[in-house]
Amino acid sequence: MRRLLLTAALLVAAPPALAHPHVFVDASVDFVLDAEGRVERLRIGWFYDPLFSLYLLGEMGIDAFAPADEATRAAIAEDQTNWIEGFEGNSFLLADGEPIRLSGPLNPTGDIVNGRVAASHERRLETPLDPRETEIVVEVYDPVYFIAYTVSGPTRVEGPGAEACRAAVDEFKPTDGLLALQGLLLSLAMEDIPEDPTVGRLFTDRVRLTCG
Amino acid sequence: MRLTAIVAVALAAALVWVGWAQGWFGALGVEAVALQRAMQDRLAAAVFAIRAGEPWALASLMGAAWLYGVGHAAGPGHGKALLAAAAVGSRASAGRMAGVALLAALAQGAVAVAVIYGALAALSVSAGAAMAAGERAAAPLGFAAAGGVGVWLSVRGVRGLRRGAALAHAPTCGCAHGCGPEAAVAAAADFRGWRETLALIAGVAARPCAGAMLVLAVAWGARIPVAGVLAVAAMALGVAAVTAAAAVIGVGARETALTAVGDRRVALAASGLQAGAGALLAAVGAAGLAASI
Repeated sequence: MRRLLLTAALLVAAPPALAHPHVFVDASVDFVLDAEGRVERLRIGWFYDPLFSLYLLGEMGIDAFAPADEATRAAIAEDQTNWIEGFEGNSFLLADGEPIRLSGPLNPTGDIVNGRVAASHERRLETPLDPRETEIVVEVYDPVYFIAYTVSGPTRVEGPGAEACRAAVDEFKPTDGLLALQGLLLSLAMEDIPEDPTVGRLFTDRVRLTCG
Repeated sequence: MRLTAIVAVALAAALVWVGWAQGWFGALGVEAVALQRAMQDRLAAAVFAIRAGEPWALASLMGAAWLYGVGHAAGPGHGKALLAAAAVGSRASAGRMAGVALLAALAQGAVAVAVIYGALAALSVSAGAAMAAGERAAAPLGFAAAGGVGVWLSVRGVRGLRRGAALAHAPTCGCAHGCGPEAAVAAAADFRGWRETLALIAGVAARPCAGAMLVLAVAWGARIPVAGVLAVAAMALGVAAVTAAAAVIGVGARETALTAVGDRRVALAASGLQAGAGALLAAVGAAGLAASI
């Protein structure tokens, strides 16, 4: 992740910035419940687009055309959870609309699936949250919109009481204004960075957890 | 007939411009994201196909790269802005401006090849570092060249304006030759000289396209460097298709304006356009230069 972030930061910070996504990720969000049925951890999965995967593996000195061995899987897991200062992981948890602090990445995995880099990690909530009392929403986005995330994987709930819960994806619902902005960002190509440093949030998919 | 065509082109350009500002193309937004992703996926698929030795894989890579070039050049960008401003602010023909656009796109691709392959082969640094270094080194050069062309255009434009004003004050001038509008027109830039043409090309080419650099880095990693160069050449042709169109629209808009003001004031109007477009370019170049160093 450090490598991707540095590339993104260099390209976005340089004046002829990439205002539009050049990296596409199919993301998944799982909820892990503790013994009392409270949300204890999130498991986040990232599945990169094939072109960026080729680029990333090339940068890591990994042969993208050979099957992944143990060392490769470990290297990907390490790379994807090597976060630079200030990077918040591109997953954001809201409890009744209020942002909740999440731990750094835990239990990372990495792999190459059909030529694409696949990685996952977990993030612990500082205080477990009861989904029967609190509305829990996870947003997955890159604030500067260098990476476009789509929550497309199956969203699962694991642990005691999970069968009473449902995690549903609210896909990004574009309004005319948002579409215009997105079209503009895409067309900006080399000229400007978005004025709004959290412009990526405008296009986020949201995963909503409902229990009981 | 020619006038009708020119007016039609100018109207179409104005419509696109207004539509853009009004967000009429918003509905294209999501499709554009999906399109970007689809283009990227096609490039990757073609790289895998080449590695697998599939027939026509190289052609498919070049086709995907060409589309990528068209797609990326289709929005407002610095290359088009430069070329369109130069087209409006000069008396260069549409054919000449289109030629300059083509050369500029190819030169831009060549810069990307030099930056990425140079860094990977000679310096053995990572492609990411090469991309960033390329941006940092090339951006000021490009802005300086663009600003230089702008200053050159506006100086010539102001000179033309002053000559026109002098003529207006002394309608019976006593000089031997070239006092009429022709003299001012002759002073107008037409991008026939190699220096200004080269500066314009440098202004466009000095900032390598990130998409091209990404493809080159991937091709290098996949050990198909020649295919990478061919893909970038195809991408440059795709970019040129769009930037040349922008330049030709600029020529059309300028000719429309000059036709509208009438024969008698054509020289003055051309000088005014030249001064204005030149000043705009100079300002863009200066702002970019300040931001990039």
